[in-house]
Amino acid sequence: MIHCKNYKLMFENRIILEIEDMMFDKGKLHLFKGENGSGKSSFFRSLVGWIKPNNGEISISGSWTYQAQNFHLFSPKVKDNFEINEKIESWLNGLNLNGFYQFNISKLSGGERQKIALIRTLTQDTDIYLLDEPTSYMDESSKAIVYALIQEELLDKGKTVLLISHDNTDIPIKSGIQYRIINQKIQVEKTW
Amino acid sequence: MNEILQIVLNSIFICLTSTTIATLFGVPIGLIMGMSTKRWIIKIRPIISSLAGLPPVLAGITIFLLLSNAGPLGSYRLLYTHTAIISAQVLIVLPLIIASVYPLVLPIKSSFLETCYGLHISNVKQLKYLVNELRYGILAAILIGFGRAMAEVGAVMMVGGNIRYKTRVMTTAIVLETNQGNYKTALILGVFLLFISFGINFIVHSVFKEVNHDSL
Repeated sequence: MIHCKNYKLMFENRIILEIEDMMFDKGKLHLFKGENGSGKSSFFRSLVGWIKPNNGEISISGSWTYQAQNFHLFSPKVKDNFEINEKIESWLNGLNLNGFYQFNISKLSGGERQKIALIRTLTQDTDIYLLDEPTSYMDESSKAIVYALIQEELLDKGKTVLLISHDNTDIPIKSGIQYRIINQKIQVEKTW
Repeated sequence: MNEILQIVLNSIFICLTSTTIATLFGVPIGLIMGMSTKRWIIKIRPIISSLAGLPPVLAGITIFLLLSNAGPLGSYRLLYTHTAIISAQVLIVLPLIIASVYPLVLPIKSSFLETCYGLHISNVKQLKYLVNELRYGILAAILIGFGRAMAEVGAVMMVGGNIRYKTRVMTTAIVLETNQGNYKTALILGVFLLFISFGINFIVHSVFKEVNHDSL
């Protein structure tokens, strides 16, 4: 569970985000939407402690993994990012990346890089996963596979997922809560 | 052994030793300096860069004053020995390697550190990943350092004394032979030095070619 109280995040005297009291329950998908610069990424960064909010308390119960929007893949090869095993090989195959673990990172497309980064994130065994736009460069069919993977490997196993996405269509996840950041506030948009 | 060959081997041994010592300290220091977000470390970066461009004769005089009889380390009688030359070369090459390594980190620093933070990667493992990531640039920095050590003459002459069969290296021998009018020997040594310099440049260019090829 994640709890934010009296939270305020500012950049250069401008309020980015304010939260009075908000809880994000465990074992659920929490989907965040909002315009560019609305503070979604900054909010994620502050949740994990990469940046400090100007005010308020954040408490996270459980271990976490955070995949930044501007992530870095370790080079030179894909296999430098995780230890290959049967499970990871099946993920790679599922994402149409058969045999890619031998590939040079510099040869990958934007979508392929995101798939590799996501697999690396999934290899971390934690309670909470914060994913900042993990599918922004992917085609629709790849997105569907990735969401199925998130459902199967994380949500079905009781993990909490916080996700930022700009996708207009509904994401194929069984249930979740969608938030929108408008006017420096987080509003619940829908639950399904 | 042929005197020329002995001078060449002497030069290679001294330069390899000084470059190895400077690499062992310079590469980790450069990586840590590049990765660090501490203000004082960011502030000393230009100082290190300036030290990389300082006249080598200053390194020579520093080591000379330290090792001379009246100096604090005079009792060890290290002046005009291999150790003295190696010390002066380390002093010249170390800032060069640090100043060549830390800028390699800067373009990837932000995304690299944020990724490592998000994946809870330890500092030691981060250094390992960085070395792997920047290996071409690091290798190029080491080769530049080796080339710099090979080319050094003033500081080496000052602390080594250019003693025959002992501390004479290619550059100091070339100066001596030219002054004595032995142009043939000076030329032979010059050709050796040229070949070694070409060899180093060839390796550096091959490395950069591979980097460019990789990024296509």
